[in-house]
Amino acid sequence: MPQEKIKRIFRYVDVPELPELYSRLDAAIVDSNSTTASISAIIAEDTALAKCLVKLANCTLFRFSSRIETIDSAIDNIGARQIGDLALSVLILRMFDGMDPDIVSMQSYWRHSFACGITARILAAHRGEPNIERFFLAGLLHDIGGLLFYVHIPEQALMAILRARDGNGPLHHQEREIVGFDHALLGKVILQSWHLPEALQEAVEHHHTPELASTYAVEAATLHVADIIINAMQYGSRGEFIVSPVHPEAWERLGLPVSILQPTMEQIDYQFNSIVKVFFGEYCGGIV
Amino acid sequence: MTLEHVKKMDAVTPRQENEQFIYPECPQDILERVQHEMGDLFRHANHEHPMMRELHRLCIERRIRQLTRDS
Repeated sequence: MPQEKIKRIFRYVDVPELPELYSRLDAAIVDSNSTTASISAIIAEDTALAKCLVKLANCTLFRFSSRIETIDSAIDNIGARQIGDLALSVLILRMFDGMDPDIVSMQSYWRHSFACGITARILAAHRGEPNIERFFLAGLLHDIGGLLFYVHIPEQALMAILRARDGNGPLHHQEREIVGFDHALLGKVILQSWHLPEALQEAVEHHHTPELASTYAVEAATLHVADIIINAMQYGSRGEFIVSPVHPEAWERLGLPVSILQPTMEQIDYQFNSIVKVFFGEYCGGIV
Repeated sequence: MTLEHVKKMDAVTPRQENEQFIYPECPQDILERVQHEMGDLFRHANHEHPMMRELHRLCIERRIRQLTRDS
């Protein structure tokens, strides 16, 4: 990305910092000497986070035959990396708690983001991807740039939404024309500043332009398709009120038959309320 | 499978004629509302792609189910 563009982005936007606890948690997860107990001890420093993760382990995302009672058990059953990604989702949600831009309702924004995360996770499961929680996180974060647009440059963001609504083309095109870059690029820059994996960065950057993704083309294609499905199902919105065309190459890249759409949509409807209830419950933020 | 089952399946399984989805057992007022909503929502979608056609069809079905359940 040209340095000039990055400078321009930071002139507009203050990127918030990730909580310090996550840096330690992430370091522990990648450290081969770590144990379940040592990872769980870091999570346990934040009681509300630990309770939220245990609740998540018992929601409809996972269907364990017996109840998960402790964070140790959640790590053993779901996986340390996966729990780390879910923890990050909770922490990010909390970071934006209290933010209330006038342009778009936060409820609508988070409904859209959560539904996209659930959909990306289901598509990844259909493909047999090893860490489907990473896709959930990618979906949750795919429009994070849009959120900072609303907070830092509300007038331009509103102008882009209105122009898109008046039929002048997709919202991200309007953003590029008005601001000089779109929410997808800003999202990538935010994830980069948080030192999150490149797969997440590239997927977020190219969720509207999956044909431009190179190393993580499947991740970008998954987000692209998930975003379209969720717009079609009208689960919230961040200002886009139409279903964008699906990029044929992205759909092909997923290697999934059209027949998976019906069970996917049924699963989304089944999982959505239960997951949102956990994330927005007393331990996880309570934004909505 | 009973006749009732077949009827229920018919109610949510549309026939497609001239690119229009036909839902024979859906009340006319609900059908018109859904077609209007979905037509607007999918106005820029690429219907030549089979995934998009199926998504549009499923969304019409889902919306009809939501509205008939609520009415």
